[in-house]
Amino acid sequence: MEALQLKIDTTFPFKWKEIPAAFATNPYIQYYELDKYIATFRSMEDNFKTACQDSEVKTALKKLVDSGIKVYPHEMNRAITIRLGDYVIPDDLQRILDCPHLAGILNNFNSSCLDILRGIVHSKMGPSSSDAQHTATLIALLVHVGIFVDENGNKYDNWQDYEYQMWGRKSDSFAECRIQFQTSNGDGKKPQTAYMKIKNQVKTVRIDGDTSNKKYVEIEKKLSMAESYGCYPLSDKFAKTDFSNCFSHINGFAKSPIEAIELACKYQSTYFYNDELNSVVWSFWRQIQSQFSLYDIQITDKLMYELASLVQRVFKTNFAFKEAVDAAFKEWNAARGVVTDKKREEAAYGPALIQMYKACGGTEQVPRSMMQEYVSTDVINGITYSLIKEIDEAKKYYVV
Amino acid sequence: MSFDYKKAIELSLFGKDTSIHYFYIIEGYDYLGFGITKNPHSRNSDYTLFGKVIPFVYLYRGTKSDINSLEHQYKRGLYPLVQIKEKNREWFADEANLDLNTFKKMVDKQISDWDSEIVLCAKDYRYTECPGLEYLKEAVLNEED
Repeated sequence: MEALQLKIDTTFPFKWKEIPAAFATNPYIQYYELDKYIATFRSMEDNFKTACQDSEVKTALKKLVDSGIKVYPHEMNRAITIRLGDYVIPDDLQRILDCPHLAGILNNFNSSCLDILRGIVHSKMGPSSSDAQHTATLIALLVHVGIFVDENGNKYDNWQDYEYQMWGRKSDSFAECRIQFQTSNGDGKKPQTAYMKIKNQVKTVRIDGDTSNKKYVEIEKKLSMAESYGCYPLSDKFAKTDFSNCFSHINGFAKSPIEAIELACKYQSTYFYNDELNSVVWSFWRQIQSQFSLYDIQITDKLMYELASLVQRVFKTNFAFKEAVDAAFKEWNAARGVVTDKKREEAAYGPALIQMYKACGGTEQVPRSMMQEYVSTDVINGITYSLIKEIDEAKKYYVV
Repeated sequence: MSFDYKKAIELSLFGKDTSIHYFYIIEGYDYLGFGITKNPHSRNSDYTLFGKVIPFVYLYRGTKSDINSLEHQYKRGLYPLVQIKEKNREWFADEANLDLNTFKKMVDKQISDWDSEIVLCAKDYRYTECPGLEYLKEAVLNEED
């Protein structure tokens, strides 16, 4: 084991213990799907049958039938062709035009992602937007500059006469517009999970070979880095089954830079291979990587070994380390007389680990900034309050 | 403000020492279960069913972090659990295929793998025949005891 070949610092009290791996191969691998194409399709027949057999669906449907409601064809929303110049945006219910958002769409432009416009056809105002004003503006711009051309490749005379589809129906009620706006902005929709998000992003790059979106390419690179250390995101189905080296805190992974992901996964797979990749591991490596790089200090293998030794010998797991820092955060605030509802602070994990490391006699160089966080001084009474002094399990080892 | 008897008892029994925690293994309601507590006396009484005491078959003592880590191993979702009677009281579902001896061996192996200072401090612990919490804070049982 590489870790054991390191020159052990005799001043540091903890030595990492190698524990037999619980599994030769991670059992989650058989369920892992982000590296393969799932070549199965579900028919509408299947979905219909599943829904019909569900008791909650059955109850809700019966309630609707019993209400006597009928919807006629002319009351149904449908795609209506409108002249772009006629499309109006009611200020009373729409947001102001967000130009940075528009620029963002242009920077990642993909014509297959263009959505349909939404609204109602008002008897006086004409096609009135309930959503997609940015899409409409984008189309106007693309027609105007000649990116959208006719069948013969010719530029249109003007964007105002350009015809596009709007989803809606004839109505003089702006209440319908408001409801449509709420619905198309997420109200009543099942939100996409963080896992689903990265699944689609990664598969766009890996399976479909589409590298046009920089964000997707970046996430794929991060995932490849994690996979190279045997660390995998848990799918929604297994989100509550913490397989070894696997993580369910997708946001923690996604927001970490690739350098921090490499450190976190190396630390996890080298020293805590029997445990789940706890969210705290993303947090403290992100903080450590960011601060060390700011001060241009190298994160050595020795430092990683000693941090892992400290966590393993004092807390046994990263989970318990997190619990201990959370409890200390509460005590630290109480000691300082700070009243807060906050039960934890993510930003505390990295500084707490580094400060404990130094307090226990760690000799590797660390950024001064990380030693100053979560330490406050009562100047009048001359008392210094330090979060790590509230960590009962660790403080008996403090020598500094 | 009403007087918190439970808190008062806890303080009188434990003082300000919050670092000691206990991990217990219990058999009851046709299930094998486990849990952690700062106060085995009070927790064991929570399991009483119509006056019948359900003992902690094994009671371990350790630091808060060690006990948290130990409990976490069995709450990670790798073993199917069920909750009965009260929430946050963990019991192994039948599909976990775990019996008392197997689970005890798993717990002991984990403690040994970690070189943890967690110790077995009581067997068949009943709050009605409480050996005294001061005793529990010091007791160390051997397998033969």
